[in-house]
Amino acid sequence: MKRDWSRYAPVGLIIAGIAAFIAVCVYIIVPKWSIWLQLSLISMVVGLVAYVALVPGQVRQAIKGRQVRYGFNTLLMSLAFLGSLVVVNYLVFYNAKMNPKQTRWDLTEDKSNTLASETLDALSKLPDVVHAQAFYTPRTDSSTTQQLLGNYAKNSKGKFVYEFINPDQKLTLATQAGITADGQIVLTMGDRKELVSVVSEQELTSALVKLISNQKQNVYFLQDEGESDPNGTSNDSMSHVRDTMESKNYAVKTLKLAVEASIPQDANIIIIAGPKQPVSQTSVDRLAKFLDSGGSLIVMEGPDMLLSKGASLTDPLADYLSKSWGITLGNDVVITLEANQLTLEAKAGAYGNHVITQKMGAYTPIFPGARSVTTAASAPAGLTLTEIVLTTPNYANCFPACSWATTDIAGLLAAANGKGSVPSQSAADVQGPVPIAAVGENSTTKGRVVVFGSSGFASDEYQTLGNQDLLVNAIDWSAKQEQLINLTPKATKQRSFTSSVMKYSNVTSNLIFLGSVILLPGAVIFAGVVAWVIRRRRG
Amino acid sequence: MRNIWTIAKREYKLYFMSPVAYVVAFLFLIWIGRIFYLNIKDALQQSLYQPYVPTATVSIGPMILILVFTMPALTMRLLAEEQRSGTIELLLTAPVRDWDVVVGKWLGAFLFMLTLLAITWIYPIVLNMMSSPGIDQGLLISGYLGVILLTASLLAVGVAISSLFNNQVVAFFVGLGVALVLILVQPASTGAVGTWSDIVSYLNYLDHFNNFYQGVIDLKDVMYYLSVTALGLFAGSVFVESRRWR
Repeated sequence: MKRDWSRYAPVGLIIAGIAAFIAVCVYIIVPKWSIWLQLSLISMVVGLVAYVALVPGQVRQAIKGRQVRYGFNTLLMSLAFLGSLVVVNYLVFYNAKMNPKQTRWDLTEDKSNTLASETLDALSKLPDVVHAQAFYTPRTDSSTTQQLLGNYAKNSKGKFVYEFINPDQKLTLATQAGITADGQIVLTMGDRKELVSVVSEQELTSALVKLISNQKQNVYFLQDEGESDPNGTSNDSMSHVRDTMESKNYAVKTLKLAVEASIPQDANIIIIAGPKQPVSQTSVDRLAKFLDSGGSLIVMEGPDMLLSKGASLTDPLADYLSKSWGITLGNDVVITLEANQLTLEAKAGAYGNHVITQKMGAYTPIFPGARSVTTAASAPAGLTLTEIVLTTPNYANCFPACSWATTDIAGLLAAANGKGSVPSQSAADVQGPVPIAAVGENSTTKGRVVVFGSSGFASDEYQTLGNQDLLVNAIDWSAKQEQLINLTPKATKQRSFTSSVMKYSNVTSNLIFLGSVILLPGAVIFAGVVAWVIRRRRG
Repeated sequence: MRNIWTIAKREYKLYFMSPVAYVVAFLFLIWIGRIFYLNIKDALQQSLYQPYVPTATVSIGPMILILVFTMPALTMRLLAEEQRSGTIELLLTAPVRDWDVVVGKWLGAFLFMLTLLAITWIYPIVLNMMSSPGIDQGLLISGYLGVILLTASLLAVGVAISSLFNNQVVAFFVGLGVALVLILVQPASTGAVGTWSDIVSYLNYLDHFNNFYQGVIDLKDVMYYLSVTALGLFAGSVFVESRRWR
């Protein structure tokens, strides 16, 4: 008797169905062309072939049937319709990407969604793709940044791409990028990098312009008197600062002014980072000429020499800064009292109004050993002086901390040698808040000076809390980079409630409640009831 | 075109005789009204310390979530009821095309929603009267345009789902599920480079609304919602037409 194999045909279909389901699951788990995926697909085909082979007549009838014909026609029509939609959408999307000005209209009054012309210009000049990494944890609101970065991307013709990274989950990546706080963006183009600490269109565009700029600024670290070495490997070296500067297209070099005849012609900025001995008068004279020709100088001189040499210290550099620039390095040492503990570590408590520190609000740099840096009450002609970093104030009860700069160096040294206690505050001391950094700018020569009353605050030992950001900002200012771009300010309209609304705010609030929660929805219910009654009457 | 308009007018009038529509309108308005009141109350408090007025979108943002529930409620009976009661056969034998039926029903629902949205204009009008120098009208226009396009597309999807079932309740829940998936499931669109990333970003349903909400009218967003509307209506007419040969 001939066996009826056709009754096993549904098994083939079932096998095909199960194999298809398994193939989908396998692909979701491991989205690769794996052996299991291949086996599942083969099983599906085998199942289908088996079904067709076992009931060829049924299959033939089904294919020729009315439903299949109409269904196939419908499928083709649907695919054609879908295809047309895809093509149209693609054309619109591509056109929007290439010509955003012609396909996008910002209807807001203050054009808050429109980038400034300077930004659009910078985006159009990007020679290579700029990759923006925005480091935001869920604790910080990133909606404004998302909108801003989205606008940059839309107007860049594919040359500006961005991604959001949670630094909590990708700590290594954040550290490598040089992130020091939540809500910072790193722009990378090739091997160049710019960090944007405070996210705004002004800052982002400035960073873009710096990336595009081919102009290399030469920064020389003086290496005459035991200053911090940017190429060193010890904790008091400044290799991290060097790496940051090189990524911002600065050339970092060292200079032995005592050996070389003159300051190199290509020097833009000279940094004296923590000299162990006073800089010689000859070197100071050369530095003075350098500043008079428009160069910039950054001095980081803490109380180390003062503590080692005491009253016998002769410091030509400090004298020059005081006489010619009106910036005085005090013969004192900052003492901080915090939680009943005295320490020689100063903390930034306030910032002066200057571009170097305008982005430092979220940071509290630490200064391991600091002295006062004060500016003359009446600045020398042509000079603009600003005290930019001040320590914590001298509160009566010293909470959270208070500080002052003691002038009793002998007493302090004695206490350090175990011969007495730390000098208490006196009238001769500089009362907190003590200025410990100041800048000077000569409007005639264009020379710039930044003086920090602390030596090692930006060394490799202090890579967080904004320490190195402060020095990097100072270097950027010294390089005259802060005026690269000034965006045309947008006129933002300030809106407020009318005076009558504010005067009767409670009544207004209650009226709003009455109207929006009770009357308007109530009117709908009333209309519904009326409609129902009318319908009933009509029968 | 006349057939579409005739069907649309009939459906529009039917809404005003249907208790479901009044319930939907009541819930819609009380939801938006309550959020508007809370925002104004909060703003009045804040204004004691610094000038602050909510933007024109104060009533637009809350609409998105409530639309997820109102769309299936308004569209569930459009074709499902006709199929259940058997009147769909009468309709399909009438000298109207399947496309006319689907679009006409969609248009009726759309006009009803436009009426409801027109009522909500009272909120920005009141806010404009309360503030000096008045609200940002560009933001208001773009926001409402976004809501109208979103509504049109969700209604089209609802009509397509309604055409699949004989049961209104099933049509409601499936429609609700699809609307929730569209609104709540958002593939990551971070702007990273790549064709696949562009596609995923483009398919994000709510992403396209964000531009309208922020005061920007982008042609690709308009095209996206019009495409979803067209696709929904096409799918609906295909499902209705398939009844003839299924």
